[in-house]
Amino acid sequence: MKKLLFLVVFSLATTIQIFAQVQIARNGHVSFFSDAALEKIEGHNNKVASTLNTATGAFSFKMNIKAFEFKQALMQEHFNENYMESSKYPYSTFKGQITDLSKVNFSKDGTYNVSVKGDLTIHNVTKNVTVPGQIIVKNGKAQAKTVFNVAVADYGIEIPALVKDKIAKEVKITVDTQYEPKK
Amino acid sequence: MKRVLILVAICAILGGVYGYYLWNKPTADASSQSTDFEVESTALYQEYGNNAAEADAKYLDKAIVVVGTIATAPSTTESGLVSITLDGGEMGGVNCELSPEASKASVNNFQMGQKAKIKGICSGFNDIDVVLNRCVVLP
Repeated sequence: MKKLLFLVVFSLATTIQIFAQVQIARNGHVSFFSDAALEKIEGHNNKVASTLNTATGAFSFKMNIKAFEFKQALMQEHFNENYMESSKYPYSTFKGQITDLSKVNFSKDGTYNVSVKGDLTIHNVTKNVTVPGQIIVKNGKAQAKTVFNVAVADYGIEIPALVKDKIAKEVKITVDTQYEPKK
Repeated sequence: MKRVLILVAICAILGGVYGYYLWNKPTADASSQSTDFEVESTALYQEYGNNAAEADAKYLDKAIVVVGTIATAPSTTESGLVSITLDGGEMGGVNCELSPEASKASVNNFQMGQKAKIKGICSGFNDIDVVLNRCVVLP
């Protein structure tokens, strides 16, 4: 009986532990920037969902392509219809792992430089990528930041011949997500 | 001959002006779009939770009117866009990002627990929330 009780308490405690180790973000920010002679193109998505498991270093991101906001209506239309084909492929995801998790102390405030490796899916094409990033810990809450370049051709996104030389072949992706412990 | 040239020039100028106007036209909010859907936030969340692909086929890129209880404190982005989340019945909800104009007009008007009626354009389900963009607040 005592053994059973111990087992129950132990498994309960472990569950709670695992629960507390997952932090979530529902208003994560991802921006997309293309610097080109023809036009600077910039879009922002403030509704990126992400989870971070502070025990295992597992990261996941999911974002709605149609939630990227552009200043000009025409830019938003081109981004969705000509490049991302967001009616066919409405989501982009990343699933990966902090490869040097031991560098991060989630119970101590600070900025930690890490490396994140995982599968990035854009336009229904998945590539394994490794990007440098920062984990900023403040009052037990994590913030994740990274900037990296993506070659649009890698993800099967075609630039129309007419504007081929005027549009950047690489776009800059900036990620900034603030996490809260999962309730 | 001269007349033709002038006509061509006028057409070219008008075309250029129209092109410039189109290029700079700002992104429209949801207010001008017609909608076939008026739903409770909990019902919309459940539809997405049950079958996201089916819900996408119905709602993706369409304007929806959603009624629900404000479940989280409003948040504001660096660029000044206000968001509120309407109750989804579970952990997630319907996350509504207001248009720049609607953000300015209603930045201090929201409180948790209040009922709100929002019209926005559905961008899908990110596994936590159903997201509506370019939202306007309805009375």
